[in-house]
Amino acid sequence: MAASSSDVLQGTLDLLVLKALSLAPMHGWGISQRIQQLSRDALQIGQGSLYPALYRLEKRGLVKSEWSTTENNREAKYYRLSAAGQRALATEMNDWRKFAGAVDLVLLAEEAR
Amino acid sequence: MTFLRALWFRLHALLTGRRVSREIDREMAFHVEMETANNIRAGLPPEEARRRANVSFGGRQRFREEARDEIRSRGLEDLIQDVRHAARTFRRTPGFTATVILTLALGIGATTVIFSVADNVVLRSLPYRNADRLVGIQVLSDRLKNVTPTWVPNAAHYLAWKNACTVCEGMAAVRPGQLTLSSVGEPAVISVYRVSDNLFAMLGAHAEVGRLLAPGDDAPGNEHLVVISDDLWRQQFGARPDIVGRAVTIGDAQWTVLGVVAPDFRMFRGGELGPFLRLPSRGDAYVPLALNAREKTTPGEHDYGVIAMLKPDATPAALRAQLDAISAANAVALRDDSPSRTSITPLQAQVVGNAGRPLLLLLAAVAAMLLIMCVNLATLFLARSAARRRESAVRVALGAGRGRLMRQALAETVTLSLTGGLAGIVLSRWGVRALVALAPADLPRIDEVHVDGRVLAVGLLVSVLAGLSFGFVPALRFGRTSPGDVLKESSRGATESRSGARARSWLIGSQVGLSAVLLVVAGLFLKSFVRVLHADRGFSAQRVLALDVTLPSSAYPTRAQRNQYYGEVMLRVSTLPGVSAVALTSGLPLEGEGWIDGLAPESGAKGGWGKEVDANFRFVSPNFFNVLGVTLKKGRTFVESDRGQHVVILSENAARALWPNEDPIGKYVHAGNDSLSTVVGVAADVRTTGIEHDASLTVYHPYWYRGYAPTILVRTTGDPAALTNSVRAALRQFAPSVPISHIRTIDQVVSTVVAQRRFELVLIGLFAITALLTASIGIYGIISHSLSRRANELGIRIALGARSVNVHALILREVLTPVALGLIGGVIASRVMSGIIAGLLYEVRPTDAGTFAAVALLLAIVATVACWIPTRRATRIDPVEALRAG
Repeated sequence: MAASSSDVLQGTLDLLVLKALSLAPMHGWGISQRIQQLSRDALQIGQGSLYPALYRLEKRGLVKSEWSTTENNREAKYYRLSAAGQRALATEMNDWRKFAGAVDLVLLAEEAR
Repeated sequence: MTFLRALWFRLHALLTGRRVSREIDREMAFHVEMETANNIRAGLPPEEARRRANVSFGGRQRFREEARDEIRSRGLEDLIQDVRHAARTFRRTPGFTATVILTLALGIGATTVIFSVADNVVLRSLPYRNADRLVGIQVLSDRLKNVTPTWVPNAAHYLAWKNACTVCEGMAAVRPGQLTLSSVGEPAVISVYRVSDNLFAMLGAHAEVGRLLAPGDDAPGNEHLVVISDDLWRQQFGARPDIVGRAVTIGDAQWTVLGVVAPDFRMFRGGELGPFLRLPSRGDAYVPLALNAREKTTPGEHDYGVIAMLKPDATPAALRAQLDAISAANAVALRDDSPSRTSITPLQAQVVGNAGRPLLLLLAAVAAMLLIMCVNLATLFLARSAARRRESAVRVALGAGRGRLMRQALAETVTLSLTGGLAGIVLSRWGVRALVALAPADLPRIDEVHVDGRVLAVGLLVSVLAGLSFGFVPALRFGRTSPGDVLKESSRGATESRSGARARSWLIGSQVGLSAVLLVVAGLFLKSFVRVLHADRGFSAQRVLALDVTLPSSAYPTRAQRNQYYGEVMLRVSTLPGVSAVALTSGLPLEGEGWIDGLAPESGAKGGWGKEVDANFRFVSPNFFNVLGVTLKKGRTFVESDRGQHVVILSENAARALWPNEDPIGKYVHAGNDSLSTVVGVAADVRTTGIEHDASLTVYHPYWYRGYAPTILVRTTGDPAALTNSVRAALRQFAPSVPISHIRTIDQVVSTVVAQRRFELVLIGLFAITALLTASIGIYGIISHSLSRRANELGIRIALGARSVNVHALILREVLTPVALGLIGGVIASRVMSGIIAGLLYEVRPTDAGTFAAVALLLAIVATVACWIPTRRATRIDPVEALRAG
């Protein structure tokens, strides 16, 4: 119903979050930092839109969350990947590769003409 | 929609939102702080660092709502969407929708009506304080076991028990009576209960005005206190508030009014406290029981309804053991010739009595009917979902989840069933009224039946369950759609899938089976009803008017005066136009036994006593047998010259009980406490307590013997009811002080006796016929739908040379196989069911072959016809067209 700012990126954002969490459990800010860092600052995700995505993934059972303390002794909500999340990540990565490959083929064909 | 959403958010925030919102806020605040700290580390001043962190995070409020949406509101919003979608779909197919809603309205309405009756009569507890601890007390009588297994106690036992009982908190007794209220207006016969002074307190009754009888009011000298009912107060005393302390004349005495009992007080009525204690249908006045010395010591007066309240931890068995011990210890004082044994029944069960089982049966029947309707609707929806397979396939292909699709399908059926159910509940208000009008008057608590919250809740629950049940199978198939297959499979050339055929067989078979059970039960009931109507009642008169007169003992103190009144009545009424004869009796057939006493043959020496039996005593005029059409088998009726003589007429079964192989005429009997009487005649057995019960042993005395024959029988040449007014006027004219009551025709008496059976038969029959119709329409629908999908296949068959006969045979075989299987299942289930209801049948065996065969035949014919009509149409199609159209 409600239009989301990340409409374009929604599927992709979920994939990125899952990937980031597959490396280590972390809190929301950590995820945004990690994605930015891994993409060498190429992907600037809307930081706020991360949270609807996280809640959506949690509802689908792909991630789990719990409150715990950071190394600076602050309370933060940590997210980690569930078993279903692992499987979903594998499938979605596969789908993404196919999709990206297909888009690539199309683009390359255009250039060759 | 906007409104709904706003409403939802408000509701949601109230219920769970707050905690979730706080959590999201904390999480987001932490994020911004981390980002700020990061910016500071990068060298920005704190103010700027915070500003940038906020900017890069974006609108917090919006994300909070989005996040909350993700976890919460989806469910409801989807549901609303589903329902709206369903409503749109149904608006496009108004005929289909109306059919479904109407079917459901009828089915759920009928279920609600029957449930409300069963709930009020059987399930709900009586409106008394601690009703679950109230028990009714009766005694078993070895002497009377031919007549009844139990009867109500006498006063001596009641007093002995009441004084010594330790497992009960209290014991109360009532004795009904009828007296004439004469101080206001025209004299009226009212029902006056003598009640023990603790009755009202035990039942938790309240006074509307003044006070009720309370412990201590039973004391000598207090006998003339009276509590009146709300109805009497309003009808006879104009609801005057100064009623308390007023003196009224009831019977031959003056009474002081203590108060008015609240209108919601429910007095016992009918046979609720035990057989042989016919309680009036309402209580008008209550006076202290105040047993006199004679009553306390007369063992034969089993005329008291006795109830007790158990202590919280006591059981009926404990009470029975204690009461039996008390009786045994006082056997001499109680004048028990054999040990008296009691029977304790929870009051609820005793009041509901035999009404429970037929009502629960009706509930089962209406549930079966509803089930058939649901199966039927399931087939409708299945057909529809098959037609919509493309739609669902496209939606799956576009990414709709299967769960979502199933939920949507269920939302459609539940939306429909709730609409139908609500309509049904509205209908049920009239249904209940109609049912109460149709119900026999003596169905306990029937006047208390109404539709209330509990009934509504059940109606709604049934609606939802119905929607889920008939939506489930279609939803399953809807959700299971495999888009590739469906989109590939053009409708052309496709025959029916195997699972479709299997589902079809199940749906046909289950409808046939359920209908069979209902039809068998209805058939057995119908046969019982016919048997009851044609049973030999022992009397053949039809055009007879009966009315009761109550002779006030102040005006008619002696037997001679009463006999003179009776003589005058016969003389005057018989001269009225339209009257062919007038007779007197102390009781009508089928209305129960009035007076029970011992009957013994003379044996051995002159005046010696043979073996005594209990018999029903009747006091009649000589022409009673003639007027009512009771055959005299031997001897003669009474004659005027019998006055002053001791003569009796015996019923055939009484004569046989006394002298199995001898001619009773001229023999002598001890009838009650009277002198030896001569048997002058033997009359046919007349059913006394009901058509379905054997006739009681009966002794007839001439009415003048006691000057007691309160029922006047008027045989008429035309419609007896038409003479009501002229007969009443004639009686009023010569004896204005004698109240007249209970005017009825003999046909009405019979009709009342069979009312319960008629009630059950009409309802079961209605459900069975509805079930049969529904099932036949269902079969017709399934077949025509499946044939339309197979037009191709049939076209090919016909094109290849199959003749219409072959096609008919093919389809019939496919349909009649599930019909036959359904019938077999139905017959087995019916056999189980008929065993359960065996006790409700009359002279019909639960295995009655005729009924079973007729039902099987009927269903087979109906199924064949339902299948033949669409098949005929299908075989007429032009094969070329069918193949092209596919």
